[in-house]
Amino acid sequence: MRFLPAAGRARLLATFALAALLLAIALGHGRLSTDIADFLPQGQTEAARFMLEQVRSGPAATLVLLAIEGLPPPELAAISRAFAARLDASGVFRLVANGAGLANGPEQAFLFHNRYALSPAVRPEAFTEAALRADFARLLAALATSAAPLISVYGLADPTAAFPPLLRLWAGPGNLRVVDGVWFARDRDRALLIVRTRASGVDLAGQRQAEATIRAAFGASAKPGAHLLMSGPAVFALAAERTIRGDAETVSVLSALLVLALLAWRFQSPLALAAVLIPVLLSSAAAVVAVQAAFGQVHALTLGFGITMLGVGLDYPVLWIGHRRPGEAIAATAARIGRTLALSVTAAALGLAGMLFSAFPGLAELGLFALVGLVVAALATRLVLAPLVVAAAIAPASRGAPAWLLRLEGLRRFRAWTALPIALAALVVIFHPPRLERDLARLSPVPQAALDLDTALRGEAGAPEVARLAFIEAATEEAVLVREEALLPALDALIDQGAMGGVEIAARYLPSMATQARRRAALPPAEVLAARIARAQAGMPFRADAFDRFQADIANARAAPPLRLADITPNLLAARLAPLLFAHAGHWYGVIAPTELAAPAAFGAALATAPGVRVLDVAGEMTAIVAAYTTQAWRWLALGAAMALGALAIGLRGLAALPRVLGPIVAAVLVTLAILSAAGVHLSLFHIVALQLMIGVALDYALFFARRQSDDEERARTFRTLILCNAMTLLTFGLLAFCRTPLLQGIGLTVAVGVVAAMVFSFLLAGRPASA
Amino acid sequence: MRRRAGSGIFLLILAAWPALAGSGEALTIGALMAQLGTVTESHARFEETKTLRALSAPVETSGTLFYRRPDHLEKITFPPHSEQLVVEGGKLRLSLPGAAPQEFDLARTPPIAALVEAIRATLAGDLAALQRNYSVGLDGNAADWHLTLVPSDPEVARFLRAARLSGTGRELREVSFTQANGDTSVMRITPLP
Repeated sequence: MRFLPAAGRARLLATFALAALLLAIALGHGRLSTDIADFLPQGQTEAARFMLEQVRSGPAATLVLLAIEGLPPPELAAISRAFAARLDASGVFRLVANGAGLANGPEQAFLFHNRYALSPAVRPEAFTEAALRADFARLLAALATSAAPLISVYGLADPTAAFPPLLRLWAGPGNLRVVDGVWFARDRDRALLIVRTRASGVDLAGQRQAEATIRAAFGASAKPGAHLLMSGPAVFALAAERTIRGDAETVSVLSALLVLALLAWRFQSPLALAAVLIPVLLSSAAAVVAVQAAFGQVHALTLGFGITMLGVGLDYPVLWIGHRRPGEAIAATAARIGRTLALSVTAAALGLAGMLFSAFPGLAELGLFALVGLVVAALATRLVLAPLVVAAAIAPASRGAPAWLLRLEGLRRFRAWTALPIALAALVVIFHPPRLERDLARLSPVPQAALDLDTALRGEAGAPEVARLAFIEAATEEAVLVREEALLPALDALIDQGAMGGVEIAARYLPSMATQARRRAALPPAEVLAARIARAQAGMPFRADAFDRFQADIANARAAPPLRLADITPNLLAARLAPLLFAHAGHWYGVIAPTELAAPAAFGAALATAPGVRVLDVAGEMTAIVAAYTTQAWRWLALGAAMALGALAIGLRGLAALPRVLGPIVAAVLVTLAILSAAGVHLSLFHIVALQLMIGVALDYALFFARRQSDDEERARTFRTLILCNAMTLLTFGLLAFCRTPLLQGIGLTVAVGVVAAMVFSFLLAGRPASA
Repeated sequence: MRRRAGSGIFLLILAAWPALAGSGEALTIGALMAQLGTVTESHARFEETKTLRALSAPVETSGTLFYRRPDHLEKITFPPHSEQLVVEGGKLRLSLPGAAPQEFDLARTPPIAALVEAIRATLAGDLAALQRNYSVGLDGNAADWHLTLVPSDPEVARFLRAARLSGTGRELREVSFTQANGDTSVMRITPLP
């Protein structure tokens, strides 16, 4: 069946429109995720997985540290108060604490009321006649001082001083300074606030609203000169999301425009442009659908990376059209390049196949996207595009074999000289191999300055770090608290040794029922207490009823049921306990979170042997996981390479032709690794992916240059087409290298360097002179 | 320096004028405060009687008071109830024999801050500071004035029912506090040269 060019053009444009529609539908139905956590590995054990999940999305992830600076402390304190009141009134936050609350709110009344259950100072020896007598004498002296107004209210009701240690315990970390009742950093004029959002840490929409609320409340409270600092997991997540989204959008738009401009210039025909884009659109749609089907979502990082796949996927239609002679039928073109193209795609796809089996969600997603993209782009080129270009009569104008090509090919005389840079690169790789990146944090797009600010604010506010903690899992709330209490001496010893500044642990605030029962048992019965008081105050000028309130409070405490987590209702107190003690899926968890941890090893060692306690080194856990995945990825890379090699050996009909194709690729990989090493780049998992991709592209070059080319004209076509492919890859991956997301940047740099090296080496080493 | 001292004396005479001139005339709170505000430094002896509901006998203490503009106040209590209390800005330092001095943030203990401010803001002639904590009433005349302070903060009111400060001219002569639980303290002040 023959089409007139006009009908062919219409059919081509219709196919293009259909392909674009398919991609739009695929993108429209895909769930796009921008949460970096979705991209990261899960824990190795069930428990570690759960705790990593808690760190990412649990109460710890809702913490936002706020600081105000830039004005004298009294003004900052006033701003802090107004700011906190507005935040509190917004209803967006579960907790707003700036130091002003605990001193006089319902929290203090609650603690005073429950002092005999909660205070560590409640012991039998505190209620002996001798102890009471000493207390009374102390009170009598205190009543003569200027503190008398407070003593007569609190002291007489609490002669054994159960309340002060309790108040100190809850009043906040000792490393805060208080100015006008508001928390300040100890060493600088910086007012501090701690807030917890109601929205979970992974609810980015909720976090965005919280951030907007914070900025609005600050704007309404601040005076000129004051500025706000924010930090916390959610703040990072938002910043990362913005960076990733920004990068993905910028790169995809910019590279698409540049590649289109290049294609338009090369083919001088909008029709050719549409033709080249058809396989790309179809392959992108297929890749999105495949990833969506396999993972239930498409991460923005995958998409950003996938869009750049356009550059590689574009190679196939460009190679096809670029090699077509005017007026040629499909079979003729296929006879010359079909085999090479098929071999190239097969080898590249086999090379990528290993990634599919990675347990690292991000890698597997990328691998699937790339694999599906490549295969569908190649199939679409052969099956959809080939008939269309014939029908629309698209082919590059034949320009013969220009003189410059022959001169350029003359350079192959010096191919022996390439041994020099290759040997040099090999030496660099052997003696100064690129360092492997094990720290997952470096893949995060959060700038170092923001991480430093977070460390500083956490230290100043005494907020626990999220990088290392221990946790206890047990069947009941009580069991968790009992185990935690057994750990308190060891933790106190660590604090005394200076291994850490302090520790957040639920049992400090909420004693187990067993401990509360012991404390209750330490309280004397009413008549015993009355008798002891009477004897103890003998000879002192106290009235008989001076300690009535004390006696009534003791009697109430003896009768009161033990306090459970659910009984701790005042807002600030409940918010303090929420991240430390919680139930999940029928289990209770207690979190032990050190603050200002100076000796992580000592912390781990002290708790490692305790029964039922697991020390979770979040950074270490991640590092171990990444290390395991990296090892796995190298293994898959090797397997993929072996499969690709096998495919090449079969496709090239024997081992004899292999060195011609492999030589340039190995040389390009060596030079790339050497350059990355010299640039001080640490190789992460994602560089391995990038290397695989680069090898796939290099295969195209080497195979096409290595082809037996019939004449000068065909060689000119190959050279022009490959240069075009190379330029497109550079325009996409080259742009990726300018991203702020380290992951995208790493991929971009590796591929950009690699494809240029592959082009040069393939031209010099794989190419043949014209054969008869 | 000299100029400043000169104008200081001039202001002092001017401010003291009503007190020197007419003793029988009605006094406004503004005039009283302006007058008190001219004192840069004062020394005094005090005798204090605390009558506490918990105790069968009143507690008698005595000592010295020292005030320097704008916010320094010192109260030194003689044995047997030795105590040194220094307020400077927002900090209160309490030294008791045989113990390390303790420092408190006034802002963190509103009831104590209110007691301190009743005396300090009066000595400073700082009406705004007084009114931040109290609703202020005045009766008497320049030679025999009485300020009645009722706490406006409910949290302070749980401790302190009222304060009454009396004086003559630019001198504070008596401070009495009545606590919510019925405890009272009366401090009689005798200026020292």
